[in-house]
Amino acid sequence: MAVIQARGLGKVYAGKPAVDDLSFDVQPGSVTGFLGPNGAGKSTTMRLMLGLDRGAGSTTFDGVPFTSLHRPMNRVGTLLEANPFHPTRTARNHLLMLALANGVPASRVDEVLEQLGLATVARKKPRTFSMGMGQRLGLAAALLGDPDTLILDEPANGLDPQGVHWIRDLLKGFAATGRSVFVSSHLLSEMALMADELVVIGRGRLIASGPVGDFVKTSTRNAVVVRSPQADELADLLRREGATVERIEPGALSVVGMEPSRVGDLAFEASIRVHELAHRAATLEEAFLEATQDAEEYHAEVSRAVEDTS
Amino acid sequence: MTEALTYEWLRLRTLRSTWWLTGLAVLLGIGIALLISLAARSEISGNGGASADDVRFLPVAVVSQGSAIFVPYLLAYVVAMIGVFAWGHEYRHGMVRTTLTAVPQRTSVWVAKFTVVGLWVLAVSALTGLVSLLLGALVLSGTGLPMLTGEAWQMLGRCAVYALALTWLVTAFTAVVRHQVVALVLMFLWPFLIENVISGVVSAVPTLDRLFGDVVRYLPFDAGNAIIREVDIGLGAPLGAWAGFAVFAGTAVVLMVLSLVLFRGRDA
Repeated sequence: MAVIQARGLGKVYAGKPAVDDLSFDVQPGSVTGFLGPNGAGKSTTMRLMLGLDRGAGSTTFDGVPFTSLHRPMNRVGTLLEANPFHPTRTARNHLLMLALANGVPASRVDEVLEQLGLATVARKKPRTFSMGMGQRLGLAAALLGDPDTLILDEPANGLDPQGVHWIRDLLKGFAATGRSVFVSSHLLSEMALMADELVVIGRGRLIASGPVGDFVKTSTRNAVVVRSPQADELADLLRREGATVERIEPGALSVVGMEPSRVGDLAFEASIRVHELAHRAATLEEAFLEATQDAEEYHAEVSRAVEDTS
Repeated sequence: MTEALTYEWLRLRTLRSTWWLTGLAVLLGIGIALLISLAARSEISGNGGASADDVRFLPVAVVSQGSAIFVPYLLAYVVAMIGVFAWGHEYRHGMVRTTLTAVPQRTSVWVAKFTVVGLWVLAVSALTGLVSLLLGALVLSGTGLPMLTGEAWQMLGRCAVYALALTWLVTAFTAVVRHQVVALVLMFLWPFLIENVISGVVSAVPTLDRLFGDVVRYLPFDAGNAIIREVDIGLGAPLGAWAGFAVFAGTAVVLMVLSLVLFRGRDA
């Protein structure tokens, strides 16, 4: 149930491609994180997937485009950036309007209001809501139809730490029941705790997609830290064997491109004493920054160019 | 389609502006009709009986809340704002994305908006006309003037048609420009100022009058007035009721088609 297939998504703003030939899959039973630097085209991609923005390509939910879904909130729950609700329509009426247009019973409205901790403000106008409460109302709408797919743009925005924790548990639990979650976030540590799969984009193009573990493994920041009184000798040896070696402090090396066991074996064979041998895994943040470096450099160049001409 | 209609119906009912605009329109309409009836009663009793003009114009003046003889059909301009807000709020508050994730079939959303707002305006116009006429008949019951005439009932229908055409016109215009303030300003400036300035300038300058004197009759709102106006107060020779309807409703239809094409093609 609920396989999302995005194929050849594209969108041009003022002659510049914001999203460029982007294809990826989102599998049920997993939380798929959607990462990219600011302005990489995440929100545009999500709007394209839902048929809100007009552009190239197609997205299907179990083979059906969103715009062909009948009563779509029962299939796909969505939360897009910037809480769109009318400032003077009460929270309950807002949800009731969405519910009844999707065949969802009114009792379900009270259920999600309760679930999202909005029961006490159900009859209040969203104009008076804090950003976090607005975000909760948006999430309530996404969950309203008990959908099998969630598409959420920065759902943790404006939430307090408890709220962030709550949403992480919610999304993991949602995926655990065999449903699909596609969620963007700029909080990489949050994403590392939540996502099973990743889609990483930069400048509107796909940089990587696949399991989080595989993505992190591609980072050159995955290193073996080794301490030895004969560090210089060891460094020469490891370089000859093909590793990239960096001296991080006197007597300590960072070795990339070689397993810890091989480092240990080589040292032993050459009778080099080793005092410490540890594997240091890259973080998602490091992998992400490295993967999107080109895109960032591009942005830096553009902003410099803009400054020069202005 | 049922989903889109349900959504639009709830959207309309859960807005406070719908209710206060409707209330204002009804009170204004009935108030004007009552004033006309009371003034007519004292005049008729002063004259010692109804004149031929009273018999001809009073029923249509009361049922149309004065618009058949002198003032614009104010009720229509008030309730038409509900139509402006129907699209204006979508873009003012980013609601259009919520709407299209709840009901992604754009043509259905478009049809539902015009249908629900249109029916609402028809109902408000017809009910207010009915209450106005009955109140007028009550006030003038002692004068022996027949109020529930065929012309009066016909005028009730003509007012409803005018209100619907005006509402759809400004609703479509709002959907095209996606800005409710621009739409609100223009829906009053255009008929009450801009068209008058154009007709005034054209008729004042002989050369222009020769060239365009006939064309200004087709200015949509001036033409639209012919739908309900019984007394000729315009400059030059205004169009007849049917021709006026054709020009006014035609303008609305053109804008509606344009708004549908744009709504289907634009980013939400």
